[in-house]
Amino acid sequence: MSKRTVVPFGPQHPVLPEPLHLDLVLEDEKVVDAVPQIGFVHRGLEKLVEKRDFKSYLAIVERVCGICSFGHGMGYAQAVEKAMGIEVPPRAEYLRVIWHELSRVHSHILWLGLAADAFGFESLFMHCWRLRERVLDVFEATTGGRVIFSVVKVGGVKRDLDAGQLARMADTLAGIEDEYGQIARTLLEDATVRNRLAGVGHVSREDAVGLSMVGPFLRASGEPYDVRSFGEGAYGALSDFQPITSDEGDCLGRMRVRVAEVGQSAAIVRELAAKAPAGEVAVEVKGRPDDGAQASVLVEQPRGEAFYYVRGNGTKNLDRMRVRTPTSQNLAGMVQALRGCDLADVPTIILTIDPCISCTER
Amino acid sequence: MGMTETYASLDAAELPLWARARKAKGWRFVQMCARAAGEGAELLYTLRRGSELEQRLVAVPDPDAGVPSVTGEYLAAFVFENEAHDLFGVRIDGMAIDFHGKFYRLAEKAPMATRAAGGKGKGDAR
Repeated sequence: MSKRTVVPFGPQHPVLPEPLHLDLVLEDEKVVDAVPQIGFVHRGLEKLVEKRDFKSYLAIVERVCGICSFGHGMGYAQAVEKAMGIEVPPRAEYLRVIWHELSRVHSHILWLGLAADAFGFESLFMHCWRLRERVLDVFEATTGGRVIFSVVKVGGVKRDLDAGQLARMADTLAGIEDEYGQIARTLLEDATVRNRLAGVGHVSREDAVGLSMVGPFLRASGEPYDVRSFGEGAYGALSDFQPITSDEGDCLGRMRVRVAEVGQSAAIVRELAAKAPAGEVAVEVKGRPDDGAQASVLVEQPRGEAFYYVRGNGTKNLDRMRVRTPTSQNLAGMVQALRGCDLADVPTIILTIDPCISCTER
Repeated sequence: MGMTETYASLDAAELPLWARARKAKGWRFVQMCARAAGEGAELLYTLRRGSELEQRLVAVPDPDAGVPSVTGEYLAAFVFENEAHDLFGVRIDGMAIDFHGKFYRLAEKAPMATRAAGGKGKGDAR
């Protein structure tokens, strides 16, 4: 009869970019259950809304996470604008989406490096993070920041981009795509990589939907849900947008989806850079959210659907601000993906979910 | 096409039936969060179908009275229900995965159950 043992995984582990603890229940080398434990980096950021006015709180919400920083700022600003009935200029909508899609490019390249490192492909990790530096250079040139941009504000954005900057952005992306394509092909077509990823951590489409999974983790199981499909903001100006999916439902499928999304995001940036209307990039915001005014917004972050909710109380401090991040939604799916896998595959499965624990705990 | 959202109130006792009925009609769970409201709390449940968001507000005048869990229908809710318990002190009964108050490592009990007095912080706009 198999003996059950409980092996602790994390919170400190070489493949984990952030602290996450799992109690892995094993029968021989097979994981039969996994109990997650978080709470190591909880910073109480949602409570800080009581101390910072709704405009300056944006600096806090951007710091929920360093990878998804821009999306958090954008989602929060959109929720406040919706609650206050503020209409953002069209050019600002375009610039927000351009920077947001660039964030997706850098996030997915970062992730690809971490995922390769998880199963020992260190040289590919180095190449990916070298490539990612070029995207960070674009951020620095256009916003002044490499990781936390602080370019979004309630009412629009703080900086404009001229035609030259947009053109250079498109050129940089074209160069990145070529090299990224070579790196991705190396991974996806290599037999040893396939042996480590194919059939590992499988989640069926039915389970993925039932467990409320979001993002590439969901789309790799065949469910074509992507918030960008709703056409909010400048996404409505795209000539065509189709969520990228895979029917594989395993680690390899998740990798394929994220690899393809880099090209999709680059195409979105080029299209919107060419179409961006002239005009102002911000409106002046006067007043404060009314007592009881509430609004929510969904944003497709690199890791999936993120939910932002704000509620005013008539003062300069919001009554409540809520960020529901994609990783917190995907924890149940992660547990499902781990069941039945070998102990040696646990790091790879966790990495293919692309967890962001800073986002989860806030 | 854009997103739409509707808000309505819901009794705590109706939560499990509401969750079951919605799930059967294809509504997907988005989130649940709590908000300090007077001596008690208010819970906001969000479901999505297509581009439509359904928001349900559940008043919890007594956080110790107990609110039924929706994890029977939406397992992903266990994260938010544990969070509502740890941060707001709301008792949720029947959670599929219950951390019994140890989901977050907190220095004080239910730190978000009471609001701090609003004031001008260092970073506030002048």
